Amino acid sequence: MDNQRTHEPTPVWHLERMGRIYDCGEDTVIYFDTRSGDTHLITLFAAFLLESLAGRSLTLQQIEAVAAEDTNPDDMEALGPAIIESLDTLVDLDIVERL
Amino acid sequence: MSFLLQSALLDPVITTGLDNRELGQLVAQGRSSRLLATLMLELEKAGVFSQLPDSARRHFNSTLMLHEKQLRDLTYDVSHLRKAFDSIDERLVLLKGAAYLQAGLAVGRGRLISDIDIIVPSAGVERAENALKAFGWENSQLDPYNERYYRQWMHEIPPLVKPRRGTTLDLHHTILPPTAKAQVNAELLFEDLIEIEPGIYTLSWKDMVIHSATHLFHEGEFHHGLRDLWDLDRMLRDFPNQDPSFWQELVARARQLDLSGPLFHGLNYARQVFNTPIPEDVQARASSSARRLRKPLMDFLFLRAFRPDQPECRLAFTDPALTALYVRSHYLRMPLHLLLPHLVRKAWMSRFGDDAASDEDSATEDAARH
Amino acid sequence: MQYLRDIPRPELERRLAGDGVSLTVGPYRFNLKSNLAKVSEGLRKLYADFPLAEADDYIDFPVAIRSTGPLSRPRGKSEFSFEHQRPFGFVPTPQAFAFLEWGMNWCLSAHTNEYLKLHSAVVARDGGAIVMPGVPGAGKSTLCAALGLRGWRILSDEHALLQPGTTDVISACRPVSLKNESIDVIKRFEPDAVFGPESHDTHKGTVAHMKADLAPDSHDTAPLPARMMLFPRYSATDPQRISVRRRTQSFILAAYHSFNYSLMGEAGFDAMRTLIDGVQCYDLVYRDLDWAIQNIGELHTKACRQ
Repeated sequence: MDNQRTHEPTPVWHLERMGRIYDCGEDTVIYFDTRSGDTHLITLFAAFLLESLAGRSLTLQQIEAVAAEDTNPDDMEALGPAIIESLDTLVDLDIVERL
Repeated sequence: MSFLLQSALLDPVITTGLDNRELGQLVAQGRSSRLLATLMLELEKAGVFSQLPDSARRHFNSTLMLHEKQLRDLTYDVSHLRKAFDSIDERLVLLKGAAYLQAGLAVGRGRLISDIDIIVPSAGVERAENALKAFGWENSQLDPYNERYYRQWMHEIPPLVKPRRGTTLDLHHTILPPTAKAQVNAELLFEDLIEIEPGIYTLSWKDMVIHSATHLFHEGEFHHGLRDLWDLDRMLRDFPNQDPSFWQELVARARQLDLSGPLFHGLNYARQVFNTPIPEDVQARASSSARRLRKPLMDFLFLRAFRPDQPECRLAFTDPALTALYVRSHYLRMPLHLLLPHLVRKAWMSRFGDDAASDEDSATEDAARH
Repeated sequence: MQYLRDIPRPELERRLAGDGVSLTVGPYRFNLKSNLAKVSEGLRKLYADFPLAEADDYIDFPVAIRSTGPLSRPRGKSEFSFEHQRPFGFVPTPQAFAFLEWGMNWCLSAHTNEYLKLHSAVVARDGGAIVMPGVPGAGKSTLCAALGLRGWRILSDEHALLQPGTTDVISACRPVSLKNESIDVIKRFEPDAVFGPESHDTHKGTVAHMKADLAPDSHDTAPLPARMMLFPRYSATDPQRISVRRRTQSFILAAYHSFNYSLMGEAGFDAMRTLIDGVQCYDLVYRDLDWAIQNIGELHTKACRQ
């Protein structure tokens, strides 16, 4: 498995079209996916990732670079795994594509 | 003989003279024929919709919202279907309503759809079914009898569903069941496809018309008979405008596919019900072909099917006529030795079987939820 | 203005069996037809104070519930129809009244999209409304009935009709549907409550409906602003409480309990957002109706002052 994975091209995450967000100051927001018509309850962090990805494709490294600007230096180590976890959820919800 | 919905579709201006009782009838006719959103757009095009009272307009608007929702869902579902078909390097070919809507054709204006119909070459059915399953589509629940019926004798595999979205997909591999008397070389359809978007196809306009007519006269259920006839009318008004050779080639194509019969039927009834303009020479051939098919009897049956299922629209003997058409469509689709057991089985199930019970249950639940 | 109570009983039965009786229900007009004595009896009890439609009004929902076989058959079958289509199949005639009510609910749920429709009870007082969405069995109808019997105006026990772009709700007041033990709970709570015929052994058990237009302005169709959204839950064991519910959670749950949020697409999102922005959201766990009514009243008074 591991061997195989190293030969795969670097994955990129893609958000075709940014949907609508309802943010009322809580730690979750409502995301309305204008493509599917589905409505989701997502974390603020996931919403931040969506805004970073809006209309483009980024690699994990690129996403990390964007997120790092807003991250407390102490939390840097946890950033990568947190991003992956959120992206996985967004892919499961069919909001973001992993290419 | 004419009915309100027909008059309103052909001459929207008459709706401004209707009283509330008549408007209510028009809405009921439109709703039960699944033509309410279509009618609304026709009234808007004629500039008379805004003159109707609010109380009637909101029913039209509510159905138009459903149409718009279906349009959005279709676009999204089709983009997903395309991924499944890309994965096996197969073209995604939409049929009927899904094709009309996705291609943005005039016939799709206000058109409601209940599922997505697609067609693949018969050699590719299994591969397509597997690819769809890999992309999240699942077999819907069927009892074993119906499952066998579909796979063996029909031109479809059992419908597939996308659980989270509730979309139903019908995967066809020909436009007539293999047991039908007429034999269609479905592979011919694939030689003439139109690519409406990258990777997404419809039949050619001619084949679209021929398929629509064929479908109309080989299906037993006439709940949407009037709507299907309207589809034909819209296409027959739209396509020749954009393609001057349409009519000549249409007739030749129907002959090539061995489907002139249903095409001429379609032309005849579209003209009778919606005054569809048809060139004289085509009309002459259609009439003579229809004469051979015992036309007075056919007219008696079909002109009852092409009316809204509303009391004020019913002609004498509507029920026996619809039953006769149901039997006729099965007779066209299946050899007699297969037909009789099937009809008996159907009658049995609708009377006593699980089907009947579960239908009633789900309807009850449906009512209860609301 | 004429009311159903103005029609003498024999004439009511004759009209129900003939051209039907046309009633005003909130912003809509229903035409009702039936050949069943139980149905006319239920209508006389529960719909007595409903305004009749004018003869030339547009009828939104022509509905009928009729027995199919000989009327004398004790276990006969009846069928509901809307615009002459029969969406639900046969039901036992003794359950006909409950099915008429369900069928009328279905007309609103399935065929109107000019409002954002939540599956929700709605009550009002002092010019402000409370929207109470809830799953069947959560106790929203019981609470709605009890509030109605203590001076609140019942706008609906089933449909919150919300005007998109506002927090306004429109009344579609009809009898409150109560099931099983809730029927006795309400009869004990208020012995004077008026009930229609009981339908036994339905898929929901025993069902009976309570007359709901108890306020002088019950059939008023002017929009009322919603001040609160309350998610009620009856529990015999959990501690009673009212607690603030997060808005985003409320949004998702209300959308889930909506008949047409998803159909409306982005317009539904906008409408829901306007609503949630404009109301306070609470969870209510209750077992004692008096306790619930008192606390809801206090919260409502506060919300209306803001």
